[in-house]
Amino acid sequence: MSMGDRTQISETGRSAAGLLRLAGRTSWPYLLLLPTVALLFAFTLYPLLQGLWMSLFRRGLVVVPQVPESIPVFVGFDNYLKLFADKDFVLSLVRTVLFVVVAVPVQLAASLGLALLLAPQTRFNAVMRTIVFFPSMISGLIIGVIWAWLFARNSGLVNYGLSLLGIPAVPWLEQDQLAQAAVVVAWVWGGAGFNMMILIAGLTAIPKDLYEAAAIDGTSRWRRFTRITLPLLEPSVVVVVVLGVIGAFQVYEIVVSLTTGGPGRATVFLVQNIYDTAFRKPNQAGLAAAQSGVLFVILMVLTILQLRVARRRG
Amino acid sequence: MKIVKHTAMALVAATALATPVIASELQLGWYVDGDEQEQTLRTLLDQYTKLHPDTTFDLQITPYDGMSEKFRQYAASGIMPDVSLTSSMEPVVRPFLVDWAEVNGKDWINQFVKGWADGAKLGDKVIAAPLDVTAVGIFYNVDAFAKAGVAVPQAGATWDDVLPALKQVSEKAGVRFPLVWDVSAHRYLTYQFQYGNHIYSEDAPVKVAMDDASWVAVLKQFVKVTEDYMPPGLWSGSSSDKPYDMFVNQQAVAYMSGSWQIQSFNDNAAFKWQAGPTPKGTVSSSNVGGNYLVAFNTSKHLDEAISFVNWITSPEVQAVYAKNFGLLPANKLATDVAYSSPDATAAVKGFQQDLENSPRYAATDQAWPEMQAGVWDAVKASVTSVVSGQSTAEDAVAMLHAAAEAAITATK
Repeated sequence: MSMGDRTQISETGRSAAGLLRLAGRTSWPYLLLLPTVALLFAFTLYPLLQGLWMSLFRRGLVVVPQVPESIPVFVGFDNYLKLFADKDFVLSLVRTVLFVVVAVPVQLAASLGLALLLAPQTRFNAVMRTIVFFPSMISGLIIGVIWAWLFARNSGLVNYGLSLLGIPAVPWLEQDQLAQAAVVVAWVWGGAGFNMMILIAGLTAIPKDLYEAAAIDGTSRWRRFTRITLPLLEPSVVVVVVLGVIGAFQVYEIVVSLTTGGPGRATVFLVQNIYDTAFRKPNQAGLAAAQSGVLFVILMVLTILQLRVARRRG
Repeated sequence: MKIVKHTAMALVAATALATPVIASELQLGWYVDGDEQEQTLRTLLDQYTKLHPDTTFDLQITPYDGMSEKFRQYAASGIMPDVSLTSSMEPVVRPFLVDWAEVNGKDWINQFVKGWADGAKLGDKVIAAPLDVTAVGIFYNVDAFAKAGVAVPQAGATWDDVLPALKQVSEKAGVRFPLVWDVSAHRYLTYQFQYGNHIYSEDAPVKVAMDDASWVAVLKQFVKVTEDYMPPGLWSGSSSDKPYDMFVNQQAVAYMSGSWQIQSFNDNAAFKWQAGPTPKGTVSSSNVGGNYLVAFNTSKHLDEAISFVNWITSPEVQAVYAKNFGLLPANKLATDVAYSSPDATAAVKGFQQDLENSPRYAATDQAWPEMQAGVWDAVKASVTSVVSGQSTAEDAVAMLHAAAEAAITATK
């Protein structure tokens, strides 16, 4: 073997090792991502695709050969077409949209108010922030139970308080609009603390000198709020709104433990309707999957829209 | 060579003698109301293992609401426990159920409470062993009646007699509400039973037996009772007021619930109470409910499973079981149940009498598996939708009728 050959081999070896190193460097991040991607696929993407596939069939939740109605029959988009003639589904969808339209702005306003009030770093505020954040750590079911105790017509704390003032008992959970309002109150209470923390983080990131310059110019507090605080807080507000809309569309646990969907069906929202269709009615799993498909599309479209609007304004 | 052969045989014999009999672990599918009940059950199972050291248990607790799906999964997968508790024998699992008439003879079932025993029969077969029975009925606050100077209703009294008396007691004794009633399809159905209405035919093949006009009239009457005698909004479907709490805290003169409350009142009520006699409508009726045990013929330990079911449904063990769980024994021969107080014993006797007086449909309606296919939900919704003003009684009954028909198709 000549000297030239050796040099060539050695260079080839070096470049191969370099390539391997490069491959190692570039694939390492992907390897690190692999467990997360695998989990996402197993627990999010696969069930989602399976659910969408299921929505194209008329079938039972469990397929039992002895029960012909449970055996999957391909029906294409029939389940989706059926939905719009299904009064329970349409009403639950309308109710859910109304809930989102009312509850999300109310929760945003409450969270923003709390954030503005409790953002200054004082000991008192630190304690108050912990107290306000506390409901975010409780499960939705417990939040519903707490408010059910408070709002009970004949044995609740709220009506007891009113009776001490000579005010007659209010049917908080027994009258359609009041029950819907009670769900909004419980939902806002449960999530306002978490949103407040996001907004406080956004508020502390706003440079102080902007406020100082505005103060020197004699700008009023209101103008400082509308011209400095709100525009610079927009990224945090977008996060709060996106999370709020997704959460409000999926409202379920609070309702189940607060009103169980009543009075009548006045507080049956979309997710409860999906649950009832899948688990409480026989052989309607395909129809329930179609309802989930509609919810998925609504949430995806709304989220994309919100993010696009935010990006354009940014 | 002979020595080697003899030694080998001796070794085999010694090994066979030294090896303990292989224990059978029975898989039990069960549902319980809470930790206390689970503990009581485990104690009973331990007792069985003491008597039969070769049988141990793998207790699999399942939520009651999921039982119907669970049975479908058993049928779909072919993987079943050895024994399961249930209140309804889903058609899909029937081919896998042990026939107790074949095991114990066709007369064996006759020792159990009639209505509930009928539900275990499938033609000539007996596909389940009755474990306990429950009865729906009324509880009275006797102290409140005494304070008001009004006599506690007697057997044979109708709702028309009893309701004004309850109101009178409420006003005179200062008790907030005359009556509270569990917001449950099962408890409401009892009221329809008392006016001769029921959902399904008593005999196979199952058919919807609703007289819609009569159902509507009774539903309207019930809604009126909720408005005039019960806490406002209790039956709206969203109330968080608890009838049990109201009665036990002396906020109500009477409470329409069932035999499963006896133990609890015995422990928690700080006043004199009495179970029944339950008022009647045009007929006397309770609502016969309860639980069965089924054994699966796929079991690898079938003999042990059968032996366990026979043990727990025997009169002697039934007496212990009923006492420990505060239930009515399904076995009529379990006569000497030593309940914890004379009040409890009297209450049990009262409910047993209510069961005796009930028409056959008070047992068969609940036992039809069709009821699990969305009918219970429809029964409750038929009342709550009218009370909350979202439906007329006519529409609500039509909805229930349609759900009952659909359930027959779905449960084929």
